[in-house]
Amino acid sequence: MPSAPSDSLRLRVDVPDRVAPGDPVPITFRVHNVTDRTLTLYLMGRDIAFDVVVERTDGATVWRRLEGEVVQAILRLESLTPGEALVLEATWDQQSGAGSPVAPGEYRVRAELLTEGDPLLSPAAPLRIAPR
Amino acid sequence: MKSMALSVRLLTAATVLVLAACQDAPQPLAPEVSAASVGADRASDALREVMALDRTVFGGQDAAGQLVIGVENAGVASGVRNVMERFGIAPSGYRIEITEPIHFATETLRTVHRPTRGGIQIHFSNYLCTLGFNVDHAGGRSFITNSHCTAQQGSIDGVAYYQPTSSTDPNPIAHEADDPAYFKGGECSRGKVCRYSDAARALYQTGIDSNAEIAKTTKGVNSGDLAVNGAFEVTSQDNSSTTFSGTVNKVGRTTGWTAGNVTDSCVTVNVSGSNIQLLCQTLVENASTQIVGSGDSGSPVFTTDGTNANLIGILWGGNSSGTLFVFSPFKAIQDELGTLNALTDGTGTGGSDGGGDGGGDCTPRGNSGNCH
Repeated sequence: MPSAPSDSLRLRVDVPDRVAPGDPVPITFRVHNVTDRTLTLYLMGRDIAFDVVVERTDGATVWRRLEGEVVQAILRLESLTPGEALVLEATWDQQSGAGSPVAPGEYRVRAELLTEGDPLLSPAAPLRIAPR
Repeated sequence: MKSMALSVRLLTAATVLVLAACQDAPQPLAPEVSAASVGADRASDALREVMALDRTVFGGQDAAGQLVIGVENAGVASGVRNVMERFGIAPSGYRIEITEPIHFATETLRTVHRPTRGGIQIHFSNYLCTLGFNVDHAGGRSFITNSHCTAQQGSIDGVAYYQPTSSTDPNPIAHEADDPAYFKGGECSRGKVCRYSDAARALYQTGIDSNAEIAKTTKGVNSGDLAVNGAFEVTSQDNSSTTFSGTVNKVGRTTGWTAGNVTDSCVTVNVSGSNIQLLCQTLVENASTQIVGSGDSGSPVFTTDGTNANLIGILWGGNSSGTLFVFSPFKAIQDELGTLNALTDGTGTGGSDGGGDGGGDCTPRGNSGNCH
């Protein structure tokens, strides 16, 4: 059973357009089966492992969800019926990977679904950190 | 078990005209001549004789009707020419190509293995993991895999294991028989549940043969190869160490045989996305290649001289880029599951299993952070 090809899936990451400095940033990652058949995904982790990357607009990474994390190396077979979506949620506390608060400004957020092979990547979503 | 399907690698881009390969060969490149011009009976007789030669791969006519003979190497070509000459077929009447030998469909880490051995794929529920190693245990002939490669981590659930999958062989090879509970307190950090090994034991079904071996891949270490050619024989097990150094190896169903260097030993490791903490674990890194991937959970970790394996632990996790893996030492596995002998072959008897030495007071539950 091959893993589902990425063109069978639509990946999307949702974040608020704008958040106040220091506020937690809710991140929702949707993996949607856009075909008319059931797909079997080969995913990493007993609970599905996914990464979230926050970048500055110049491409520099400021935070990576799984940086320094150890993930169980189990392979999970997840079926997605036609039209069904996996919904994965995370929160970013606006701390950089080094543990310091990030500056207000424009950022991009993208998500990665870890699979048996290469990760499946979402398009980036814009995020503005600015005082209300 | 090998299937009879033949590899289809005839006349691929990998084939090379033997005359092109031997720059000093006396014959010029032969113009194409059809078998019909040679004479069908003579051509057929010649091919039959040619195909009796060692290291000939295939023989017949190509789409244009020219005789073509595939051989494994240029040294075989002279034998082919001799036969052709004997049958009165001129060099212009045939073509010789060097091609790879054709094998039976490849045995891989993800195909059926009986007897079973370490490093091969196992399947339970909707998960795939790796069989760590086979053992004799007081409860019966068993294999060891990860605690998180069970239906309920940290409790005995009796989940059925299939090899390689239930769709390939619907008869389970074993059932989970021991997976000690995780504990709170003591060395365990506040809010965490702990063990010293991510290991569980599965009791073999009656009649399932299992060897003291770890599957060995064809192309060697860190090649990404999953094809199996032989095995490491498990000739020793490390019953006492909790710290390690140097190069260590693993074989798993996803990334195959890989190796890296120990960077930290006997360190506490938190499992991402859970409240689980594993104590006194060893980290192994190889910055230049992927050494772990999803599905490698349960892989045997060992040192080797290339032939024999000294079993030192079981892999359970890694970083998201796959350049670092974590393993629990064999000593801790044995401390938690009871005495294990990984050095002998055996056959499942169904056992008289009564569980192991677990004695924790709680069970991890995903991301809850609670102890139940």
